[in-house]
Amino acid sequence: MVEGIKVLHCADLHLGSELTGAPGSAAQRKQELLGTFRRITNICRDEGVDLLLIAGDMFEGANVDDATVQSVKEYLKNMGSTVAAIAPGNHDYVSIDSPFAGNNWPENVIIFRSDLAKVEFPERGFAVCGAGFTCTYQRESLLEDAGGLMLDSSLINICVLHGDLGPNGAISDYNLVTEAQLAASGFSYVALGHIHKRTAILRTGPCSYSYPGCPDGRGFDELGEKGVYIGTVSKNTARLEFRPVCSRMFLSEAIDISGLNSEGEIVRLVLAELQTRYGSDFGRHYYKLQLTGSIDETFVLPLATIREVLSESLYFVKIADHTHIEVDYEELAKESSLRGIFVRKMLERIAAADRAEHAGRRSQLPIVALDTSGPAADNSERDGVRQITETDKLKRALELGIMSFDGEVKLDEY
Amino acid sequence: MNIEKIYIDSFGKFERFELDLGSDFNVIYGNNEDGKSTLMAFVRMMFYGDTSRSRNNIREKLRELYRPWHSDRMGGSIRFCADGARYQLDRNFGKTNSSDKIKITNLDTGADIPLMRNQEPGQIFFDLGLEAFEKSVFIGQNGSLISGTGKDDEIMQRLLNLVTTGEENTSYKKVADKLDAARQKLQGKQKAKGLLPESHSKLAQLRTERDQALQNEQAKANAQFEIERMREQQLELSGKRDVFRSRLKLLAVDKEQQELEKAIKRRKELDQKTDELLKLKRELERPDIVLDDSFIVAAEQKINEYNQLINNLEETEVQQQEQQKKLEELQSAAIREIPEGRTETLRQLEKDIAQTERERNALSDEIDKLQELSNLEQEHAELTSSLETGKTALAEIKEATEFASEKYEKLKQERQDHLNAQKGLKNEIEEAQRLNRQAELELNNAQNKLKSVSDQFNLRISMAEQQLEKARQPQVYQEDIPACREIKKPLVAAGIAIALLSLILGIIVDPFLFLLIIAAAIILVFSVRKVPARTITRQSTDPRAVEQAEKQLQQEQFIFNQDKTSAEQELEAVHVKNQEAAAQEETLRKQAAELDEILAKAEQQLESADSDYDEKKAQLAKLQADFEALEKQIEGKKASIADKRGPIIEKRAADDFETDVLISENQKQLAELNQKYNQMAQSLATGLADFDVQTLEEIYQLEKLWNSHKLQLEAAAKSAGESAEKIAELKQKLTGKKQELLDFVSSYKTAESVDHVLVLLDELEHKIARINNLNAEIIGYQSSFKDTENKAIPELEAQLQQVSQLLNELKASSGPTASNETSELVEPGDTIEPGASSEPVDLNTLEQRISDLEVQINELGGRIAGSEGSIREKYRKLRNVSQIDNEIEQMEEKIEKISTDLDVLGIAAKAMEEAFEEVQRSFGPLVNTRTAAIFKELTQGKYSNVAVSRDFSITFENSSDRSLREWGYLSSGTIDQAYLALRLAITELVTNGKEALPLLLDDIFTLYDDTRAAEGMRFISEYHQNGDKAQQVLLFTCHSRIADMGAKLGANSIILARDVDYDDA
Repeated sequence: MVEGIKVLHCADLHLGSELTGAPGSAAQRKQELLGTFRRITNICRDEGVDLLLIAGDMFEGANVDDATVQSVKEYLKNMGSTVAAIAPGNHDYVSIDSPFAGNNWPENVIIFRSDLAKVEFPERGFAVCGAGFTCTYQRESLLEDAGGLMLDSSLINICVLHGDLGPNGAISDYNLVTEAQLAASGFSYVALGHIHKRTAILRTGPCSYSYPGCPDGRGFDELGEKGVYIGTVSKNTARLEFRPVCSRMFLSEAIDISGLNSEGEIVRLVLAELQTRYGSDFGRHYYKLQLTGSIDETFVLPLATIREVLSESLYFVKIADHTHIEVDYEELAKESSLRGIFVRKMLERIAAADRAEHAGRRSQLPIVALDTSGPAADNSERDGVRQITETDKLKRALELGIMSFDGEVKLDEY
Repeated sequence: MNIEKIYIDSFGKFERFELDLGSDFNVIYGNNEDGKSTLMAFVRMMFYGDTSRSRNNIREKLRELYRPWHSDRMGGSIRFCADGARYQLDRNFGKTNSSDKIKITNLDTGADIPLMRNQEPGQIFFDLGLEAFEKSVFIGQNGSLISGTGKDDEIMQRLLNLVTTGEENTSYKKVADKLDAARQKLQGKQKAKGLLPESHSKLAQLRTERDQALQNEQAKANAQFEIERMREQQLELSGKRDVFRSRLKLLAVDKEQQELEKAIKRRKELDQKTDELLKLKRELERPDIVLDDSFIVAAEQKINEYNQLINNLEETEVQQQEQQKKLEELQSAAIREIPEGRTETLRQLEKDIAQTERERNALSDEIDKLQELSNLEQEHAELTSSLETGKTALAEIKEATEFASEKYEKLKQERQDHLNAQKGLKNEIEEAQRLNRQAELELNNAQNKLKSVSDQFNLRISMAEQQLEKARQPQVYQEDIPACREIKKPLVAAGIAIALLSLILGIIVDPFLFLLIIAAAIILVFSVRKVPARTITRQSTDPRAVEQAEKQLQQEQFIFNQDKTSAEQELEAVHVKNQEAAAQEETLRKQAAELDEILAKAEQQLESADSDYDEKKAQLAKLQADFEALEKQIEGKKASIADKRGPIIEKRAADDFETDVLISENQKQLAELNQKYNQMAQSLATGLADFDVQTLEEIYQLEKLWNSHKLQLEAAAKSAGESAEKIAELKQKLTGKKQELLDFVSSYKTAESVDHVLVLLDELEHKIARINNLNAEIIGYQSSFKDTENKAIPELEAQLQQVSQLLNELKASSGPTASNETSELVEPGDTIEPGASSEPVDLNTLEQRISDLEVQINELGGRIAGSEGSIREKYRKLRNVSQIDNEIEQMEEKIEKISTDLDVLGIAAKAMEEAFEEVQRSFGPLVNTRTAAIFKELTQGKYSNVAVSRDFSITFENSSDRSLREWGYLSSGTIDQAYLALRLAITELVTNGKEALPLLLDDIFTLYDDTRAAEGMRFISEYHQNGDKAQQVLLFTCHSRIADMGAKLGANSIILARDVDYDDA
């Protein structure tokens, strides 16, 4: 009986996606995503990984081009002794035109094409189970049949699955997986996919599980460093670590340019700041910069020029002007002018709304972690998306109102 | 602007009062009634006069209020400097502004400043109207008394109006427009589609696309199900095919065994045939010749030649016999002989006869032609004669035509003369008619005149008679009688009578009766009556008028008679003239009628002459035409004659011949020829009679018959000789040919006769045919062997043994189920022999089955591949549901963000609108700001903010706790401070940008406590120095503490003495 096996857990690669909404060169980005996958398979080969777990949405869809599929097959084939287990997800569900439809996959690749199934490797001391989506919406939980697998308790049993982690009784279009199911499943590790933001290595009962997130971002809704989980899974533990593999990062950065009043100064500050934050090769990332702070009333921010100059050093950059002219609203409210009265009225409303919200917050129960309100086809990276309160709206209304006195009313890009 | 000096000549209580003022803060102190208000009123009236008309409130009628106490005059002067120049304003007050005497002198230049009608000096120098002046720089006690009661609302309202909120309006519009523009960008406006509608539209598209993607997914699932079903079918068919294949193999081995057995048998037969062939070949083998089909053909050729010779000999012998027989028949035939040359003589004679005949005919023709020529010449002569006659007739008719023409012209001239005469006469008649009409007109006029004269005079006479009648009637007229005293004579008489009677009776009767005199006196009094002015109507006849009318009548009648006689004479004269004119016209008309008759005759004659002329012209034309035709005919004849004569001339070589002479010559020649012809005909007839024939043709026939017979005899004799020679030659050839044949056949076997040769050849032919058959059979056997069979018999037998063994093995391996499987292979359509149901299906059927199955399997494979391919192709470029869901999610987030921004913009716009409404409700930000600033200073920072609304309420913000307070909760002193601040603020705003105007303050700190008053004074003293424009302040007060404060603050203090007689001073 082996102590543990080495696994690499990745998900949601979305290979072949055209990235029409992504900035920069879509074709290049597509190749970069494929390159990231190649790096993953190289790690498997070079580091003697026993089991590569791909937890769904490996492909963007059935419409992925043949060249990409062919490359994927080659990379998988060249992994040496690594076994790859693929559980198709809602994007690449098994269908007649799916890349998984054919039988010409390398021998070391296991594709779970429908209900929960098991493949044992007794000589290597593990068994891998999994299930695949056969349509977009998998409303019946695939893990429900785990009991029927008759797992061999002498082996390290690992499961790979695409699905939506949620509480008991929740409803999900994407294969609801509950902690209760996981705890009772008998698996040492369940490799999940679907959520693009990685979780920690979680544990329920004897079962460890996690979402590694996507290994490479595809837009500014997938921010930060992306990668895979790699490590050892033994009968009772899963010692996995995050390993970045992304080619580039999507980064949204706020940079305070208070007091600066020339394009050169701003560019220098931005580059210095980004270098501090992301090291010497900071230039390769995608940046969405918000220039913040207060600037001189007379200084018109030359956004286009700044963007142009920054583009020389950064792979991709877009800039939003979130600067403001230093305004003491309390003082402004004393003015017996239209502006003063407007500010006073807005401050009154903000104060009232703030009081109401404080009162409301005290009386409300904590918000449930999982938002099951609408379809989230993937990448549900909803952390940090705070509900906009009435106070927020009023503050924004105050800003826009003041903007209307000074110049154009600038709205954010949508 | 600074007021330097006030001089009051006479105004209110002041007489010849002078007041010099400092250029900055002046505190003018005096007790009540000392004239503070009077001084302020003086300044106000000097600059603006007074137009108040209140009847009831004397305080509002300043002219009345400040009427001088000691003088009738009212006026004074003010010296001031403005805009860098010094001026003096003199004003003597009349009853109204317009009657005031105003003089403004520029003291620097001495020039007078003219005023326009109704213009007041204040309007020039303060640049304010009276109301504005009173609402700003002129702060009376009224101003300071504005209190919580709100009594002075009206003034405040007017003040308010001074300050507009124009700037704020503009500012609001800009701001609102910007917010609105941002909203429009999001939600669109009219045609321009905003981001939100666009996003909604895209979202709807995405949802539609998603629905379609779901349908596609379902369609793919269905297709997949169908493909799976086909795969299963394909698998089933493949199984069936495999069973068929194993059965096929069994049958193939069985077949191979059978074929091997057959092959061994065939191999043995082949060996037999080969032996026989060798034997036959050896039998026919010769050293020098090959006995094959060509040998037989050559021998047969020779036999044919021999037979041909025999046939020729027989034919020639038959021919020779027939020729002999024909010769004999010809020799015995009876054919008459025709001597040579006889027929030639007859033929020459016949030719001569024919020649003579032709000559005779030619001569006859010539005679005919000459006859025709003779006729033509005669016709020509006749036509020439006719032409001559025609010429004469033509000359005659020409003459007649000319005569007719002349006659016509003459008549035409005559008619024209008549027409002219008629025209002249017509004019005369018209003239006579005109005269006649004129005479009638004159007659009418004369009659009318007579009638008119009669009518006129009748009228005039009638009028004169009426006049007379009128004159004879009495005239009624009005007479105005002026007022007078009328004496009633009877009463006077009566009065006198009674008086007399009284006197008489008094004397006589009783003196008492003198009293009657009183009665008389009374009557006399009443006899004189007062008659008023009146008009009375009177009547009278004027005899002068009657006389005048009678005279007039007579005169009218006399004139009428004169005029009437004159008119009647005139009428008579005109009547005579009229009759004469009628007679003249009648005469002329008769003449005209006669002329018409003459003209009618002339017309008839002219017409007759015209028709005659036309007829002659027609005749002439016809004759000319005939003449020309005749000439043409003659020409024709001439040509014909020339044509006829031409050949004759040519023939005779002389053109002078007489036709008739020539005819007689020719007729003579013709008679000679006839004679010659008859002689020759006689000779021919004699020749024909010699041969008993009628015609020369018959002799020719006889001659031909004789010649032919002679030729036949010669030919028959020759043919008979030739045939005899040929028979001898053929007999010799035949002998040679027979020997040659016998020699040739002897290569095979020796023959004794030609018949024997035939027997031998037949035998040889059979042997050769057998060899050929054997050869073909051997080749057939050899080709029937497969490669595997092309072996020696022992090898084949060994192979057979192996196959038999394999078959046994296969049968053993398929075991007892084989037959069952076979039965499964039998398809419903197969024909199965009775009792052979368990027999294996034959090889071909099995192969066919397998082939069919292969087709079906391939077809299914094709369908599966096609279906998969088409699905892949169909959905290759389509996005799946999850991809679209992602985009929908992004779009929803975008919409939410846009909606939030729209909400936010809405909130901002609403708050802005409310702020603007508040601005509109207040005095406006400028007033508020400045008021607040002044108020803050006045209250030493206690209140930092005020808002003055249009209902004059002021809201205060307490600096310490930022609490807002309504003015009603504050002390009246604070309220006064606030309103002072407001007034000062308004003053600033009103004079904004101009020269500072003097502030006239009338005891504004009355209600202030000492502290607050001190603060106020300090403020005022500082306030006037504020900024770059020093402002003159005139503070009037009746409070000594204020005056003291002013003094302490360095103000120019002026004390007005109580009850000082300024006049004396």
